[in-house]
Parts: sequence; C-alpha cells; structure tokens
Amino acid sequence: MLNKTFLKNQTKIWVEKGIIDKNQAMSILGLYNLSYDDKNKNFSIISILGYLFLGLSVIVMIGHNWENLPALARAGLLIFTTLALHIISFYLFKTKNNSNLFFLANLLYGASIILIAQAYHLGTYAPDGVFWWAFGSFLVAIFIKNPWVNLQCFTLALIWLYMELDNDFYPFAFWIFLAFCAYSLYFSKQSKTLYFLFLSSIIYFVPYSLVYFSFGGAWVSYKYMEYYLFLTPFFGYLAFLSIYKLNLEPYFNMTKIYINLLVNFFSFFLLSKSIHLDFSLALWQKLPFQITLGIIIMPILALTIALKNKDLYIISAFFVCVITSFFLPYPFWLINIILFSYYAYNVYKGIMSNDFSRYFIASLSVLIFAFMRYISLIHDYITAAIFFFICALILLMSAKIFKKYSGALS
Amino acid sequence: MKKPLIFAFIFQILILISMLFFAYAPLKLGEMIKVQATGYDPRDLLLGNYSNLRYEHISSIFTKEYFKNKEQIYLSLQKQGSFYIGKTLSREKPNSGLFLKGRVDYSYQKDDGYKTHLIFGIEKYYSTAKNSKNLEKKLRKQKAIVTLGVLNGLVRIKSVEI
Repeated sequence: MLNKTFLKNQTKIWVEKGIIDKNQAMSILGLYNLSYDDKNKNFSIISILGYLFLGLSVIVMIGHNWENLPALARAGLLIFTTLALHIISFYLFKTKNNSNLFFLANLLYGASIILIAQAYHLGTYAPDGVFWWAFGSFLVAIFIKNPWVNLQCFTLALIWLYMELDNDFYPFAFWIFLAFCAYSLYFSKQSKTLYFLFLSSIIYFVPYSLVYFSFGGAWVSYKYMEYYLFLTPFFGYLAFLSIYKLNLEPYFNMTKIYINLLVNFFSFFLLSKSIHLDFSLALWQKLPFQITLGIIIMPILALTIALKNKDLYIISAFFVCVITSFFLPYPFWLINIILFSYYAYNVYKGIMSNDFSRYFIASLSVLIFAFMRYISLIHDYITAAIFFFICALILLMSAKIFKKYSGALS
Repeated sequence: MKKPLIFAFIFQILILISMLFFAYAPLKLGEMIKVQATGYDPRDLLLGNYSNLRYEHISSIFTKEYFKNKEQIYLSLQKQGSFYIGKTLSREKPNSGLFLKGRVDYSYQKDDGYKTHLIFGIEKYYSTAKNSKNLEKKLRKQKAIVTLGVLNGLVRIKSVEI
C-alpha cells in the first residue's frame, strides 16, 4: 500500500516535470490497479460519510420516541420518506449514474423497521428485524453495484450473523448473504474492505457449519474449539487456492498476506506437545481421518495439481504433513523440522519474489519459533543445543542451496 | 439492470407494510385481554427507552415436561378473576381457546418439574425517557395492568396502566 502511494505521488511529480505525459502516467498506474485521478473516489467517501451521519441522526431521533404522534402516522411518514428517497436515488442513478444515495435509502429502510418495532412494542426477536434490513438492502445492492452499498449490506448481514449465533441459532440464510457478496465482488467495482470481510466470513463460517452439523447442532463452544481451530487454516488455504484458480487478480495479494498470517499463526500451535495432544485426541474421537481426507486433503491436492505451480506444490505438501501429523503420536523432531524448513523456504521465496509481506511474516515466524523452542527446551540443555544446531544447519545450508539455485537461474 | 431495481425497493416497502400489518392486526382484529405485570426500566441502543415487563403466570410457568431453550411453544390462557393467566404449555398449536405463541427463554429444574421462562415479544414497552422513568417508579410500588391484543397466538401491547 505504501509503495503504491509512493508510486502514485511520484508519477504526478514526473508529469509536472515533463519527464512523462499524463497518458504514460495513467498507463503505468494502470499496471498496479491505480487511477491517476482519485477526486471522484474522495468525494464518494465524503458523501457516504454524510449519508451515514444523516441516517444515524434519523435512528437516534426515533430513539427519542415521539409517542404524542400516533404510531401509524409515525410509521407511515417514515415508510413514505423511504419510498421517496428510493425514487430520488433511482432518478439520480438513471440520469447521472450516481448510486450513493441508495446508501441513505437503505439506512432509512432500517430506521423504518426500528420505528415499527418501537411504535408497536415488538420485542419478539430482534435479529429478524436486522435480517430483513440486510436482505432488503442486498436486493437493492445487487442491481446498483456500488461498493459502499455492498459494504453496508454485508456489514448488516454480519451483525445479523452475530445476533443469531449469540441466540444459539444456526443462521442458514447467511449462505444467501455470502452468495450475494460473492456476486457483488465478482461483478461490482473492487472493494478490498468488502473482500476482507467476505474472506474472513468464509474462513469463519464454513468450519463453523461443519462443526455445527457434525455435533448435532451444538454451539461451537470451548468443547469443540480444537476442531474449529484445526479446520480454519485449511479452509483458508482452500479459499486461497480457489481464488488463485479463479484468477481474481485485484484480491490475490491481499489473500496471500491474510492466509500467510493465518497459517503461520496456526503453525505455532504445533510447537506445543500438549496442544498437539489436545487436538489429536479431539480429532481422533470425532473426526475420522477418512473425513479429513475427503473434505480437506483431497480438495487441496486436486486444486494444487490443477494449478501446476511449484511454489504451491511445496506449500500444499506442508499442509498435508501438518494435517497428517495430528493423526500420529507427536513426532517432535519431524514437526519442528518441517515447520522450520517451511519458514526458511518462505523467507527465501519472499526475497526471490520481492514479496515483502511473505519475507516479513516468515522471518518473524523464525524468531517466534526460536523463542518458543528456547522457552520449552531450556531445562534440557543438550537437546536444546542439538536442536538449535540443526536449525542453524538448515538455515546455512538453505542459504547456500538457494544461492546456488538462483545463480544457476540467472 | 436498472429496471429490476424498482422491484427491489418495492420489496423493501412491502416488507415494511407487512411488518406494520402484523404489528397492527392483533390490536384491531384480535381479542383484548388484561394481564398483570411488574417491571423495570432499561434502554435499547437503537430503539430508545423501554420498560421491561414481566407478566404474572405468563412470563414463567411451572411445567412437568422439559422444554429446550429457544423452542417454539404455545401457552393456553385462562381467565382468573379480571385477569388472564397461563394454563398449559405445549409444542402444538391449541385447537380452541385463547393462546399465545412464543419461545422458551430458559428453563431449570425445580421440585419435581421445571420452571420455564417464556418470551412472547411483549416484554418491552417503549416510551420516552421521562415516561419510562415514571413508569419504573410506579412499577416498584404496584403492579401494572396491561391490555393485550391477541389474534391466533400473535400478541401486541395495547396499553399499560397503573
């Protein structure tokens, strides 16, 4: 992001100095999905924020409770205002192709739901109101393809998801919202924030659903946390491979960073024998290896083979090793050497591909790995010394091999 | 893609009108009953101030059978003096008589049965901050008489008097 901002500022200076012309600047920035002139975007942010505060002021005003006015008159007035605002938004959209006002119209629609609930003292089940708010807003969003309205709708859907889970209900309709969101991401203008929320939801909700249905509708409580933590990075990696396969260019780098962070964070669990034991026991009892093979390993292998990328072969092999390790007694040396080699490989790849985030995350992982091992092995000096010696050998030998390999390439 | 948008926002308006209908119907088409309630005054982030009402022999009932949390239930009502109270709790809709449709909030074992707490969507009475405070003060000293509109299990608050 910082590099892109730098490039954007630099191209403007180059144009001012006459080194390149405006068209050349636009072509250069186009290579990195940047636009030369961002004036419209900035105005859009300001107007959306304005609409947000306007909508909030209406909602807060409803909170005051104007009970001197008849309930029907209050509800009728707000429904009429919502309809009128939709008509104005539609007119603006048709004539000026500006759809930002729908953001406010959706807020007023939600305010109407709140007002009806308040005027008629409806306290039945609050998430239902939020659900209809999100659903109605999404129906508008899919036709206007406005990234702000899409973001607004998906945020509402996430609030509804949280409320349903909090009430111990499985939110079936969240699949519809995910489908809406996928559609919006694919066909609308790119929105990295929406994509981040979408990816996080997939990584959270798919394993959650699997755990929920595997254990007869039980809430993912502490009791099932091992499954949940086990499944999350693997579904994350599956999502990453799918995005790679779909060639979703604008979102690819973001996914890579996100998944790298998730996987490396998860890998730290493997460093502890007791956590490995907890995971293994939970998995042995409830999740047979055949199911794991079917729902995680096979799709990972199939997608990796289809992608034909050497880097992905190595990462997928790492994943399969990690999955398999949970179905074996704790192989201390094997797990540690695999993890350490994986981090070292990522440092190398980060340097070779000028991928700063990969290099940074992997280097940090090496340091955390060393720190954790130092703490856990401190009582056993000989083992600790041998262990760190082997780690050093891996690093030094890797450096030599990588150097030779990259020399041969150049 | 612009024309189907009209149907999308008409859908929103239809949702609002149907909500209004379901809120209004028990009050206009349903039977009016009186129940007794106690309560206190909290505040909702979006909907403003309200008094939380607990209905006597309706909000919680003693059952022999165990009902799961969040399970949908029907509470048959019977008149006792001037007020209605809950009589029996069932999973099936009663064929006759007045009844309320709701959900189990939670239940716990008590003596040789279960104390089951229920939610019907009439637990919150929204008002201005000032009126809610006044109502709370009065509710500390005496019980409220709440008039409810009931239509085929659907129930709404018509008025709260002290």
